[in-house]
This record gives sequence, C-alpha cells and structure tokens, in this order.
Amino acid sequence: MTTDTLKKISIQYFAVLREQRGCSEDILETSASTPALLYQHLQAQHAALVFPASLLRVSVNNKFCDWNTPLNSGDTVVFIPPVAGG
Amino acid sequence: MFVLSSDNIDAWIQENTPADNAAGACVTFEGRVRNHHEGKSVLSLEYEAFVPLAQSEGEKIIQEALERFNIIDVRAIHRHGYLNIGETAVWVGVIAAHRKDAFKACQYVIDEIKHRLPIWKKEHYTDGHSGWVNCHGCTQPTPNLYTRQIALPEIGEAGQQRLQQAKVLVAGAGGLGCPALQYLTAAGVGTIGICEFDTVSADNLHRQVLYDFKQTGDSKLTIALEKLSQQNPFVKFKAYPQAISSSNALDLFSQYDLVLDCTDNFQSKFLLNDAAVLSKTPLLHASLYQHEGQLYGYYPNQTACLRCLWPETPDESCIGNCAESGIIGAVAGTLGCMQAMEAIKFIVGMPNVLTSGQWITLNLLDYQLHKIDRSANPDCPACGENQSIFNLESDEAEALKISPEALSALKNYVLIDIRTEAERRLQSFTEAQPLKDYVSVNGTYAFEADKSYVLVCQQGKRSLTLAQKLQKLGRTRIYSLLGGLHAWKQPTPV
Repeated sequence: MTTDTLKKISIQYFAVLREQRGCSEDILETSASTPALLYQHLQAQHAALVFPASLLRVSVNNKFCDWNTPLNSGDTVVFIPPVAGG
Repeated sequence: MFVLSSDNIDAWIQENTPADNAAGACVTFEGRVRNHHEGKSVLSLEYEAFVPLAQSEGEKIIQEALERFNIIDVRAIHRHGYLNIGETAVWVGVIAAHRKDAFKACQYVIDEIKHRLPIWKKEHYTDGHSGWVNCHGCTQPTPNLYTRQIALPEIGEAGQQRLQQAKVLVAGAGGLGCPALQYLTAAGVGTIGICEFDTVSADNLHRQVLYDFKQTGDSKLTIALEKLSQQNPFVKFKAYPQAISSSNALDLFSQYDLVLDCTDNFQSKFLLNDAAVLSKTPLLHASLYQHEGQLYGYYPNQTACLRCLWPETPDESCIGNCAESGIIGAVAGTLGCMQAMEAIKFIVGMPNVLTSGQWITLNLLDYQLHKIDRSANPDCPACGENQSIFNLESDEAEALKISPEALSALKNYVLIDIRTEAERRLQSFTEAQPLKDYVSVNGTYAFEADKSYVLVCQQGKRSLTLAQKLQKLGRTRIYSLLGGLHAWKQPTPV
C-alpha cells in the first residue's frame, strides 16, 4: 500500500474534541495511512486541536480499533475522548 | 421500638415517650377511634392483627426511619382487639435535634404503618351492623399500576414478575440518577438501592429534577426517598448516604443484580468498573458532555469493560465536567431514561440489550447516533488474561497519581526513576534522577521539604506502591507518574 494515495475519509468528533475542532464532522481527502497519522495531520492543520492522542480512543467504521489500523478510502473515523459528566 | 398491644396504651405512651438531652424536637402522632365513617355513626372498633408479621414489619419500619432520617429515637405502638370511641389506636413518637427531621420521620412511620402492617379494622355501627374497612395497602397491593407495560408482548406478567424480583443499585441521584430512578420506580423494580451523599444545590436543579428550589441545602437522598416512595409505595428502597468507595463497593454490588453508574467523575466510574469486574455484577454506565451522551454496559464474561479501552483512570482535569463545560438538563434526562430503559430490557430479557458490547454515543443537537462495536482487550488490567487489578484501589492511592499532562501544574518537582539498574540500562530516562541518589547509607530517604517528588517506574505500579509507603512514613508532596515511563515516552501515538 502506498501512503501517498489520497483516501476519502469521514471524521466524527465528540465532546471536547468537537469543541476544539469547532465542528462535529470533517470529510477530507488524506494521504494518512493510519488513524494515528490522521490525527497528527489534523493537529498540524488545526492549532486548537490540542487534546492528547494518548487519552483518545479511535474507532474505524464503528468498531474500536488500534491506532495503527490501515485506513481505506470511504472509512469513517471517530475520535472518542473519555467523558465523565453526570 | 415497636409494640403491639391488646390493652389500652395510654400508660405505655406516658412511660415510653422518647427523651434525650440532645433532642430539640419531639413530634408525636396519635390516631384515635372516631365516631363516624363515611356518613355512618360508629360505636366501637375492632382491630384484627396478624401479630407475628405485624410485629416484624413494624420493627422494620422503625429501623428504616432511623436509617433514613437524622433523628435520635423513634417509638411506635399499635392497638389490636376492641377499642371504644376516643381511645388511642396507634401512637408514634420521634425525637431529633431539629423539628424538620422529627416531623418527616413521624409522617413516614405512620404512613408506612397504615400501608404495610397486616392489621384489619372492623367498625361496629349504631344501626347494629358492622363492616371490615379496607386497610390501605393490604387488600389490593398493586392496583393497575403496570397494565400498560404488561400489555407489551415482550413484558407480560412474567416480565413484570422479573421486574418485581429485581434489585437495582443506582450510584448517584443527580442528573442521570433522577430520571433513571423515577422510571425504574414507575416500572415496578422490586428493590432499588440509592447511593448519594450530596445535598441539593441550586445550580444543579436544571437537571436534577427530583428536587425543588426550596430544598436547597437538604439531603438529596432523603428527598429522593420521600418522592419516590410516594410515586410507587410498592417499591422497596434501600438508602446509602455515602459515596461509593473502595471500602463499600464490593459489599454493595454483591447485593444487587444490576448497578447503574450515574456518577459524574472518572474516579467513581473506574472504581465502579473495577467493583463490577471483581464482583461479576452487570454495570450500566452513562456519561454526559454538553449536548452529547454515551451509554455502555459491562456484562461479566460477555463484554469489554471500561479499562479495556482506558487501562488507567484518566485525570479528572483532562476533560471538562458538567460544572466547567456546561450541560443541558434535558441531555442528562435523556441519557438517564436510556439507562432505565436498558435496565428494564436487561431485567426482563428483551432483545438487543447492550450485552453485545456496543458503545452508544448520541448527539442531541444533530441526532447523530453511533453504535460502536468493541471487543474485550486481552491486555486489560481489570478483565484481561493477565489481570493485575485484584482489589479496589483506595481513594488515598488515587490521589497520589499524577499524569504526564498534569505535571506542569506542579512547581519545583523532581522526577525520580525507581527502576532497577538493568531496566535503566535497557531504556534510559535522562529527565529523571536515579532513586539511589536519594537513599542514604542507613536506608532512609533524603528528600528536601520544599520540593515535590514524582516517582517513575515502567508502568506506574511500583512507583505507586513506593509513594504509598513514603506517604505512610509522613512524606507529603510525593507522587507516582500515571502510566509510568510508558506513558511519558509515548505522549502521542505514532
């Protein structure tokens, strides 16, 4: 797999992440091959997106998965921070 | 003290009215035989009691009043046999430091006596007739309360029976707990435990809908019990006026079929998670953020637990709580209702229960709903193959932990690497001083008073043990780095 192939990825943001990104969804063409690289790209693009990835969990196509799961065009990626309010 | 008597009770009342120098209030209630009932003149009255059950139930009511209200003593006596007009049939006396508690407890005891005691009243009328008068709760225990849900094919009489036999513990009677409790109570869950230590606060009223403005400062638990008991007097409530902690969680969990996590902080949520895993009790979590909510369950041997995703308890400061980030009350209401619905589905055995392990996220602004599949993590410290959590971590230990992100809040701190020589050769940690520099020849630790010390090991476990030991020796400003060197070296995944 080549990393420079552009993939169309839909990204959903939750809770504090949605706030920092300023919207709840992004659809973008990216060369990022994994959720980890995708989050790095997003952080580089959006200065307000400062939430540490170490505290986030990621799901691809509605399944929690590893940060190094390969991304494919058409995937939906959701970044989920821990939430405690009640 | 509860007494049943077949003789006149006036003298008993004289001798047994409770007294105590700490009591600022004494409230007594006396029920007497009146000379009329529904338009008929009454001559005398006959009480027939099933004595053994009336006695044990009466003692239970007294015990409940002592547990629920802030009172010093409560005593009650009930007559049975023949009584004349004007004679005392039942008497309740309560003493407390303050009148409010005494009034409430007295009302509670007489209402429960009327509802629950197997005592039947026969009135003898002036026209020569006589008739049994229904005691409130005895003859028709649950009049039509549940017909509309029994009508559902998935519930039916059998499902209602399961609800009646179920025991559910609700941890926290706040934004999530209020609606969850109201709907579980309405549905006829047989036994509901409520764990709540806090008082009513005006700025929480927009989402804690069991409480009124005039009750600001009062005990949430006392009010919740009173309102819910009125809502459905056929539910048995158990009150726990304390936070769930490492010392009571396992004991509490063992008494219930299901626990609802309606708490609002990570420490409680992860403590509940560990207690559920250790006691193999199903646990239903909900969490809120602004106008979003999350719902997920832990079902022993079926689903992942919370630590499968987050092995370490996150720092409370890593994300805003309701106070800092804001929350719409209706969001808490929606998620609390979803918890109640999920509990009912689980108890009755309805389809599509979250035993499949799905993690639900719901945004109430745009109605985006995600059902995210998750599987158990074999490396999970709570439920994985190499389990490392065998007992609940004490709250004191929790306070010693500090995350790499939170370090900046400490001024003047020193990182101390407590790993072995071999470990340090394998992976160096140049930011930290080796522990041996701080141990003197006689084995004591040479720490400076005005500095904070953050102990670091590979995973954060040994450092926590050492921090606890040092704390016991009287050392303050000592911390254990959460997640250890592992977390320090990998602040962002690559």
